[in-house]
Amino acid sequence: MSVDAPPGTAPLLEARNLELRYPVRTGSIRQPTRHVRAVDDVSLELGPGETLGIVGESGCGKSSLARCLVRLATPTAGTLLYRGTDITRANQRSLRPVRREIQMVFQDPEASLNGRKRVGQILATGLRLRGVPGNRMKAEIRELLRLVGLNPEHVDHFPHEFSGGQRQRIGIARALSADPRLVVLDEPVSALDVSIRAQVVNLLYDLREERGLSYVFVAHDLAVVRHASDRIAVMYLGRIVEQSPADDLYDHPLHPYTAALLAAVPVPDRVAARGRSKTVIRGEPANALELPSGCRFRPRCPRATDVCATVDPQLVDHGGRHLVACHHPLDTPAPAREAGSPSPA
Amino acid sequence: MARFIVRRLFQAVVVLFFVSIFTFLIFQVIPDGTPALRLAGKSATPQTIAAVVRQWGFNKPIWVQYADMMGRIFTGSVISYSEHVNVLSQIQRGLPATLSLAIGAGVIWFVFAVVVGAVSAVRAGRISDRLLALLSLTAISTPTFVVGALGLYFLAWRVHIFPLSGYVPLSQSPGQWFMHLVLPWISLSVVYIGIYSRVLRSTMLDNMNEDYVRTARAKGLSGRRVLIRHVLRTSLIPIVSMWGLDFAGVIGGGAILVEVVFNLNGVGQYAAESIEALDVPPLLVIVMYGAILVVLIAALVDILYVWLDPRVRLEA
Amino acid sequence: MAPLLEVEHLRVRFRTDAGALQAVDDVSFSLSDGKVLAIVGESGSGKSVTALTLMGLTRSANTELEGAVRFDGADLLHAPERDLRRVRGGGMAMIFQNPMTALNPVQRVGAQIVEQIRAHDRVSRSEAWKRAVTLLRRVGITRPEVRARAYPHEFSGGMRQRVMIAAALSCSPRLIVADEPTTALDVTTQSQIMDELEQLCRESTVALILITHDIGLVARMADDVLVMYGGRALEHAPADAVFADPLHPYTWALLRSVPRLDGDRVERLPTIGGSPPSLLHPPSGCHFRPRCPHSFGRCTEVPPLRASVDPEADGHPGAEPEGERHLDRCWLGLDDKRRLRRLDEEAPALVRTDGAA
Repeated sequence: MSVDAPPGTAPLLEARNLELRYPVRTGSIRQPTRHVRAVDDVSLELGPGETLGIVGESGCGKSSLARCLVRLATPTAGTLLYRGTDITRANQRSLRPVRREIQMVFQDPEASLNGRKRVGQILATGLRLRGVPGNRMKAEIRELLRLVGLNPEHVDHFPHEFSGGQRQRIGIARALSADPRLVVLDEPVSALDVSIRAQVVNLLYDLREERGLSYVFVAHDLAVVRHASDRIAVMYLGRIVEQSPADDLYDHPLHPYTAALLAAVPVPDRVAARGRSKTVIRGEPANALELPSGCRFRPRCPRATDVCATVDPQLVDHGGRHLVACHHPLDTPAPAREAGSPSPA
Repeated sequence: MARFIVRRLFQAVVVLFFVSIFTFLIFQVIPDGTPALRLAGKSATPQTIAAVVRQWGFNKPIWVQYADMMGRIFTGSVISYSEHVNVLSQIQRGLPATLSLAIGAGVIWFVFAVVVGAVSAVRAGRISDRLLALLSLTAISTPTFVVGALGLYFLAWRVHIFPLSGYVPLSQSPGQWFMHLVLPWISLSVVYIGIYSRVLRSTMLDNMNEDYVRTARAKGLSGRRVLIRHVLRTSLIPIVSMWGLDFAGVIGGGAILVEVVFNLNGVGQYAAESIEALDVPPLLVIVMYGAILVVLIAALVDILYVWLDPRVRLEA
Repeated sequence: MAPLLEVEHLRVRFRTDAGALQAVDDVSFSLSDGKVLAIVGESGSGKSVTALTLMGLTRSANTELEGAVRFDGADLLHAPERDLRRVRGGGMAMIFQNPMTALNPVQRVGAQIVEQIRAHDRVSRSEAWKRAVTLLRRVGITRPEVRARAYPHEFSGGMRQRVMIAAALSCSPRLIVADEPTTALDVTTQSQIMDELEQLCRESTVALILITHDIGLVARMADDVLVMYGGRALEHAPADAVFADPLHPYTWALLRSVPRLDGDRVERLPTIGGSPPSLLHPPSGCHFRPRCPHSFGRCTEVPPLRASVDPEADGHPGAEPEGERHLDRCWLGLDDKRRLRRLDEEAPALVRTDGAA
């Protein structure tokens, strides 16, 4: 199901029932090739100037979703609309103008920057893409470097001459060089040191304010996206299981999985850390090739009942654009864990 | 695994098919290759030539000729143009020499390369490593026949340690067999020792920095055990697959030069003589058999690789 | 009773092509049986080098080691390799950061544990295999008889780290050094693994050195905390004291820069400007000086690591003066530190904001 946009703002990016499947060979002759749905029936939308956080454990499909949104991967089903235009299966040529407007920042700046190119060359590519004339190039590059808090004098350095945090700033500058409207950030600070993380998150925040950018902020860390996002979507095994305005999600999580994720984040506080109930859920996500019946989170869920084993829960709005896909969300009393217990509405 | 093997063997068959077409066509277009002229002799009358053409089937469509030739190759009934003898029996005569040469050299270059490579990796940066690097580079850049000729000159001509040339069957005299083969083995191995030891050295140096090697040290294993069980074991994987391919290459024609230099009367030498005589059938047979061998061994190496490196299995 | 591990004035210096690199500079601490010491720091702080040096894994022709590392009374820093090997993986075991790469990819996991057991105990292969299976069961791996025959890539990240823990426990160590054991794992897996590790250590009174940059983990597990920066210890104290009364400006800035789940959502996070020092060309004096909003003239001299809190006066009941002292390496006076910290907390603007990272 899709979310209604707040009145007055047309969505910049809209995904409807997006799916990304890929084949997995099992190595046996008799078994047919099976498919993994890395992204399974995902709908979301993003308004101009908005930041959507996407959170989940590794293997939940968040990076695959990010790659679909920038069309580095072609969704196998569903619709992807950018400013009203269907780009789900657009070819490379018709994508070109869109490519400039949607940029991506990757987790590992070391791997995503071409190590043989100087910083200036890396940034010039995007500038050329948006038609900056040659005589303005140098000035624009210096401006970009200043914008992301790097020394413009370092324009001729190679990526390896910078620290990790600086390299991520180059990655951000590279994304900005094309003057995008939307930047998809795939774990942009996960590889950075604690004291550097906050700097980069703040930089992203300032850039968004200055340039009216929209972000999709993919992370495995709920604490990092909390401060950066307006809305947050929680993914589990290819599905969005909860989506809500940020404050609401942290104050009143509705999905048991979200609650577990929140409980698992270590708190930098002695008393709170010791007083907290420890591990809430156990185990690891199911094998994506052998999804459990009904709700995918069922095998790890403390609230699971019979209905969870048979009916796959759909995303339902619990008011205030807070959607959750759960038979027993946390705003209902905990179900009695007997067989055949009724499922609350 | 079974699926993988079947797929891999199927690929091998496809490759062989293309190799066979390609080789067949090459020998169709080589200049002065019109076989009827050669078969009929120097002063043949047009009638004789026409008879030869009919007798050998050169007037048939080219794909029929191809099919005939392939059929004969696989039944072993190809007859050579120049001496009208069965090619297969000629090859069988040369095979012991070629196999002795290839297998012996293969073992020698593998063992020496592992030792040299491992020593230079352990001694990386020190004098012994630099010396070995110099030797390896010299070995790589010296042509096989130069090594052979130098060996012959110094160790067989000037100082009579080894016999000058020829091949003595193993069954006849193991000692003589060995002495006759030492120089050929060395000439053939030198280049490979140089290349393999360099590859092994750099693979080992890479692997020494792997986290699991640090883990192995942290477990309290001895330095030697860490080196052999953890560094060398994983570093040998690429070497083994290189070896398989090169070994097949040597049997499939790579030893021609050495066989000629040392007059071993092997399959390679037979090929060389056939080239000189522009005698197409033996060449076709040797190339095809060589190709079959190379492709089969390559397939085997791939299967061996999967067995050596369990990570590959999932992606297979 | 003498502590299990005593590290005194440890210095580690690497000779590189670019010059000498002082990775660890005068670090001292001690640890008793069953206690947890957290060494906290960013990359380049020297925390991992310290851990590796305890295990004798930084030894090489290009390394200079100074000071003393005493484990169970015996010096390890200058011990012959053979003696060291007996301790490694035996009395002192290590768990590494990345379970994806820390296990040999072409060896069955059971065999990797067996190898460690047989390096220390004279037992048969089948006996060692049985022990490995028991260990795997103990760290929560189901069907361990079967799983022991699997290769590392057939395990998830969390399961691989459990294998590492099983291997670490295999020779009944008295100390486990865990270098960022959960950094590469998901939050849910992370909290399970740390629960289990804590549990296992408590069961057998194994001491734990936890190397991490994760303040949350420190808050949850540590008895003592050592904050490292640019190779030096900047603060060393019982965990309660560090969290309640952080005395070094770096420590309190670090504690504040962690994004939190509690408290109000803020748009801009408090940060520490600048980036960690280069160990090849460290700043003169206090290493934190260039990033410190409170530095003054004297900070160009290296401050000593000293106690600025009197444990009696500060009311740690039953405190042992030696082990419970609150040490830090800063020239500011105690009252100044506390005053400036409060100012920083109330007015984030006072924290120097982002320069180039």
